[in-house]
Amino acid sequence: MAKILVVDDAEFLRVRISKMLVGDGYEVIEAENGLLALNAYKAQKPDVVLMDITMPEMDGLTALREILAVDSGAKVIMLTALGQESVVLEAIKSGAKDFIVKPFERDRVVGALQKLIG
Amino acid sequence: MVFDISEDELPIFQAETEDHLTTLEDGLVRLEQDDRDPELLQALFRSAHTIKGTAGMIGHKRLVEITHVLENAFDAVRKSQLPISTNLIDLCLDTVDILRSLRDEVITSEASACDVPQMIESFRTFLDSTMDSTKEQKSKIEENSKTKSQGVTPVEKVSEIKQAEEIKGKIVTNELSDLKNANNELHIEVDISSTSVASAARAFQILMVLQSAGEIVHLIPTQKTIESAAPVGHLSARIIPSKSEEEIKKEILGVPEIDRLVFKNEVISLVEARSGENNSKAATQPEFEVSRLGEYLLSKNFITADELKTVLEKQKTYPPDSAPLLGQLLVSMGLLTQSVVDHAIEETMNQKRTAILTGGDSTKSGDHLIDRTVRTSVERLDALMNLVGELITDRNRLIKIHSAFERDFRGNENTNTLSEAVVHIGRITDQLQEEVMHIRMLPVANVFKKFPRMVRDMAQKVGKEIDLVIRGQETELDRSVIEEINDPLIHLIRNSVDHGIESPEKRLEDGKEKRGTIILSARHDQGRIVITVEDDGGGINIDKIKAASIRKGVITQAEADGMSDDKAIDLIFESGLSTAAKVTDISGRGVGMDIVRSNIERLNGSILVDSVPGKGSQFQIILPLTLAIVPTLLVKVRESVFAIPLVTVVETQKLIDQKFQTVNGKSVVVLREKIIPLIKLADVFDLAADKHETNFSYVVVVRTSKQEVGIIVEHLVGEEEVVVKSFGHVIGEIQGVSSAAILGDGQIALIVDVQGLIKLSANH
Repeated sequence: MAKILVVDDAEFLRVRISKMLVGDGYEVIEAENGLLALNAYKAQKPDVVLMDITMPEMDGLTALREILAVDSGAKVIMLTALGQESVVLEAIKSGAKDFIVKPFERDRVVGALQKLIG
Repeated sequence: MVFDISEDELPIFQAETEDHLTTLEDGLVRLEQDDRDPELLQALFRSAHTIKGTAGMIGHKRLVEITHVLENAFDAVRKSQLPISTNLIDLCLDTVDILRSLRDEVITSEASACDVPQMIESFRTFLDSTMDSTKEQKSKIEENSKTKSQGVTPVEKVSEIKQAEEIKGKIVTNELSDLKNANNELHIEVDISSTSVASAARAFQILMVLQSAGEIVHLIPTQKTIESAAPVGHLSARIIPSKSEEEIKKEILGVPEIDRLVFKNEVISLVEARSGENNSKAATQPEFEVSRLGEYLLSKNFITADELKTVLEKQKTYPPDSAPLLGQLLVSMGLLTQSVVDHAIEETMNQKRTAILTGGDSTKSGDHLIDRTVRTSVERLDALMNLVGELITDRNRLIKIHSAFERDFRGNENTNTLSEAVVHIGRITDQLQEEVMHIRMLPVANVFKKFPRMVRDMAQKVGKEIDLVIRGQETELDRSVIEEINDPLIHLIRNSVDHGIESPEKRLEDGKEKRGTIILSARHDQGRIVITVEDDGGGINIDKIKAASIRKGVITQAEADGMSDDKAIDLIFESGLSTAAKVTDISGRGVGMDIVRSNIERLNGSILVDSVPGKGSQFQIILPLTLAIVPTLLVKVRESVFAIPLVTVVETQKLIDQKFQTVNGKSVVVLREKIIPLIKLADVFDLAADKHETNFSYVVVVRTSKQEVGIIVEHLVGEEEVVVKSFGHVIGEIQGVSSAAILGDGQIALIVDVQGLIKLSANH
């Protein structure tokens, strides 16, 4: 069972994504900011990370770089919104595998995951 | 009003948006005072951003639009493109009000009356007038605020088209030369969807695929251009491949939001296969999902086996990576409506979910779903508190029984065992009560949080400059008390803004700081909570109070003359009294302070007022931590037991000389040179006299506001925590008595309402 780390400071988003994924048999772990995500990544080694960009404590871009520093093969998909074009590009350049734009539907998330996990 | 949100998500949505709305409101008020604290700005931006994200997920377009405007304004302030002004804060706060109404639509499912386009227009007009000096940024903000433009300005659009045309020209010429020299080169062209939010990032993803696929000999736009984050609509490349062509094609098609791919001579169009808004649904939908939906539709007779077969065959005519979903096909072929398909998908999802949740190996994933907190209803907590109350009554009863045993059978082995059990059950009950009370506790921040905005708006209305300082907002008290103190606090703060703090001119004249300060604080003090509202305004004018009281017939001229300042100040709690020079719409209508006091006293609390002319006023509200259980002093009068709330008790005195003095025909007692009026409970409540005359040997001095009175009783029974039982509708309200309690020995005691008692005795 693939393990997915969902990182977003909005609980609503985490719950929504968990609901999308758990039905398909993914194991979901959650973190509410970049710092907690980094710790969770080290401890739990998820298969894929779905990560918001704008977060308190540690933002998504920093967390992405930190995670990649720990595991250069980390598969991180950024969750983004309108108006973050340059940050998204920065994330892709830094090694994010993909990005998903909010609002997104279940198929988009599952599709992106399947592409990475196979 | 229908939003894409389920019932279990609603409370999370509500709580989370409420948090962010509070952050916004609070932060905006602070921003006006502190002036661009970068962390504060960041927090404001984040809150707007999060609301926008969540709104998008539930399909609340208007909420997305208006939050986007707010987010952009914060961004502009953050980048020093927009100065912080009162107008800006006003506008932002108005926007927050609209956000709240729009949020409430989700909860109530009813459309609100707020005018979103009008608000956005006002914002734009404002930006027009304030950002003239920085025109470039202004246009950027405006454009950004038009969410539909996807952040692409017309200028960029034009240059993009030009660029694309140039590229096309080049390709034609390139192609001619290509034919001659480069048979081993692979020619690739990609159209990135115009709806992509970050097309440059998609282009970069394609670039990465190409880099891993071989040597890039030609690339337009260049890597540098892509990295500038400018939108990329079209990408053209030639590479010398080091991988199989099939593999490269698959990898490129793996990048989402590609409209069209020209791969060697093959043209793959992905646009039609995609359904309107939903960009990259197609490529990755798993096979089994499709078949399960088909099975479900078939089993429910929504479609026939033949229809299903036709549709599946049609699906196979698409390229495997970009085939439309079964549901989409069914709808587009007119076999089913979207709502039926949606419902069917939901059902199949549910079936699968149930299968997984009941399956053996799902326990592991299930663990993560179990939160460490449990949501429960207030009714349940109230029921729990009631049960604990009953338990306390029984414990008190046990203690009584135990002491009877101690008296009659001291030293008996069973008595000792009973003693141990009673002590233990007593301790456990105490702990249980504490735990339950703890669960019911909420920080007063729940009430305090809306005051900064309120004070700001009111001060602005009356042309004053006021800072509200909040202290101890983490102090916790019972949620029932929290609910009740809201209105009294609003009254007090309004009064301070309207009557307390002087106008800036007046303050400067008096040699004070131009800005007035109101301090709202909360703290625990010996099992009670003390909430203080303090201002550094002009204080209460005693003479004016007296004059107004005489005019309203509350007191006579003679009474006024003989009245101490302490007592006179309490006149503000009399109904119908207003000393405000003019009635404003904030306060000064003469209703308020009397209601404030009666509200607080209904909670078994008390309110004290203190004022120094020219320096300011202080209102102190003292409340019990909970309303369900009250520590009381039990007293006995002619076989009846009364419980006097300990909050009000100042002291008790044994009366040695029972001959009371009289002042103005009323009984008083002199305690340490203080004259205290007396109330005889027996007289006030018309209790039948016993055959033999009883001795009223104790006086219990109680205090309400600044007034002290002595209650004459026969016996002091002792202190006891009693569980409050309201009278209910049958008995209704009784003046002088707030409620009843069952005591340890099974007797019923009436809980005295001191304020009511004083009024009652005055009428006697």
